[in-house]
Amino acid sequence: MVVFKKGKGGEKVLEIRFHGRGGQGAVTSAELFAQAAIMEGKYAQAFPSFGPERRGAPVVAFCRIDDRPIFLRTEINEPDIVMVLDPSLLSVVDVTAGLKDDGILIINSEKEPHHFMLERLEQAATINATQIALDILKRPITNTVLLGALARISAVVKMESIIDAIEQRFDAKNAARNVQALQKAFAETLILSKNDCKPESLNSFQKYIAAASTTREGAPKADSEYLWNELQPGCVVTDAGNAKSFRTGDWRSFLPVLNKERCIRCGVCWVFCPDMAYRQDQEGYYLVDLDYCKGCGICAQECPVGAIQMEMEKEADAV
Amino acid sequence: MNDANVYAVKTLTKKEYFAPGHRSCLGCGEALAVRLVHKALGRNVITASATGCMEIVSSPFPLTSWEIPWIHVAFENAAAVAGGIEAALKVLQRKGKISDKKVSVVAMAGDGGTVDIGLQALSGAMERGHKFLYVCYDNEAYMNTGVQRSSATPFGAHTTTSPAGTVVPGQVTWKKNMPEIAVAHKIPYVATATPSYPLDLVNKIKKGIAADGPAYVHILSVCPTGWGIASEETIKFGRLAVQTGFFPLYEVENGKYKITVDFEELMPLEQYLLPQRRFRHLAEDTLGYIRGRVAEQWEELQKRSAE
Ligand SMILES: Cc1ncc(C[n+]2csc(CCOP(=O)(O)OP(=O)(O)O)c2C)c(N)n1
Ligand code: SF4
Ligand code: SF4
Ligand code: SF4
Ligand SMILES: [Mg+2]
Repeated sequence: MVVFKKGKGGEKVLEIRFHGRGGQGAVTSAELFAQAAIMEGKYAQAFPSFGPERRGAPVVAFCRIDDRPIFLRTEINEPDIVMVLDPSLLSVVDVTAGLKDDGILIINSEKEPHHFMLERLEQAATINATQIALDILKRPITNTVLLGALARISAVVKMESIIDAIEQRFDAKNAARNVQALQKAFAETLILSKNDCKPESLNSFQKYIAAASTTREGAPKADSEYLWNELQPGCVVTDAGNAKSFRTGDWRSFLPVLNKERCIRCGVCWVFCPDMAYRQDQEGYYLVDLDYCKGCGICAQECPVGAIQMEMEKEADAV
Repeated sequence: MNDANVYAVKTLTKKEYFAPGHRSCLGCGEALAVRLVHKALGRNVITASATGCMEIVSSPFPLTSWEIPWIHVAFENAAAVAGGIEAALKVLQRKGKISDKKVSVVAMAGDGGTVDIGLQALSGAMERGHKFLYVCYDNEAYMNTGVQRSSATPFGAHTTTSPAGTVVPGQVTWKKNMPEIAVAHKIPYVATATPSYPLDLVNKIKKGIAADGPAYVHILSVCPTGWGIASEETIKFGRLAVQTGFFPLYEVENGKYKITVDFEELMPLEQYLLPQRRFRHLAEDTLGYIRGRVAEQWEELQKRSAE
């Protein structure tokens, strides 16, 4: 159980980072938790990381809770707890970046927590939130579900307060279903503490996240790394089409799968793809470039012979 | 199967002038429209772009999706900048400072950047007679800033600034008819298009850029995020907008109207409207009103194209 950590000045503060995809409700998750804390007389903030990212893209949201007024307005780079709403993110972003040494990782996954344990962490927890969401909410929206796991692990905010926050935010019918999902998650969360972990299960996740955090070949440096005198007048970019180094395939939660036997090689999938993800091979088949496909499903919907099926991206096997 | 689509595959260049790696939402109809427009335009083009979704998703420094010279300008002045580029090219070519290779000039903006804040710059450029093509990517609201209504938002649509409630049924004004405003400037070419009919769209862009004077193409660009539909349904809803008469496809060449995708009978409007989250609250009386005006608009268009 995590209670408040003592800050440098003796103040108690808890910092949580939420990883989700645009449109999955990571911000709602952070806000509900903050709201619950405020209802208990604490001070809290919840805010997203602002950027141009849209539906499907990896996004982060933050929640900061304190028992004194909060004057900090910065993003949380060294969280006490990291929450991962979507397991397909694990191969794309290093969710453990900056996570404190005695921190806690809570992941929406069907797997057991030892798959995600790192030597330096205090606890890892998993909950099959997607399944709970599909069963109870009938949609794979895991934001409220995951708060059940957070409540189980952290004593900072009581379960009743989270329920109150949910009831304030949603209409009666939706609130009831969300509370049901929350309670199921609370009961079913699997928690592994450092002391109970077998040493041999510590290495795989470490290797895995190392791969996720390496930068891509051919990508220019981040905007924040440019010095003023390196910028062209008017911020002109002369490297035409260099956005190709940015892989929007990381946003995908569904994958188009082609059945070659059905395909008539008409190219309709290629015409309608908003992300230029189709290439024609030597035999005339149109194949998806996984670096760019965002998984919108247009090609599957428009294929005149139903040769494309959308399949849910699996949790990467490496973990 | 739709033969026109298969034909589109055959005629479209394999070259992309809008590179992948752009950051639109998945299933973005506006990004698809930009892709097809620039396939039609080819390499020798300079595009001036107002701010909006397409600017934000295509040019986060230091990356760009553009394979052609492209300049991001303010929200309100895409047409003025394009006019300036066209005038400058003319002068430089006359003075022999640059080669006299034909370079097309294009201005692009969203519906907000066109029918609201960019209208005076556009009207001025059409009136001065610059030889340029203006493309309006109409997703029927200010999407980049989170779905606020514009004067191109359809009657009854819910947006964050035209919320549907018990008293007001969403947007309370009729969609501003921007193509007609362009026609009133007596410019040589005006057309409507949507990526769900790619061949029709590409043909119109080619005609527009070849016209001897200003051309205006208004593209309905389905926005799954702002309209509240699933990302795979973008093409389907563009098609339904046309098949129900909600967004007719036509062109006006030197004042002569022609419906380019015609129907004996229109599909029932509900099939287009009610599955969209922004319209799902519509009651029968509002629907009836919309049905009446859409029918009127369709009849008027048929009359004109028979003239
Ligand atoms: C003068 C000015 N006002 C407001 C803004 C903020 N702003 C940026 S994009 C945008 C909305 C764009 O809407 P639209 O033109 O319809 O394009 P879309 O994003 O829908 O494609 C607004 C209001 C701005 N950049 N400049
Ligand atoms: S649309 Fe379908 S049939 Fe046509 S090329 Fe694509 S997968 Fe094959
Ligand atoms: S799902 Fe199909 S249409 Fe959508 S981005 Fe992927 S390849 Fe393109
Ligand atoms: S908000 Fe709409 S127009 Fe803008 S990127 Fe997303 S889908 Fe495209
Ligand atoms: Mg718009």
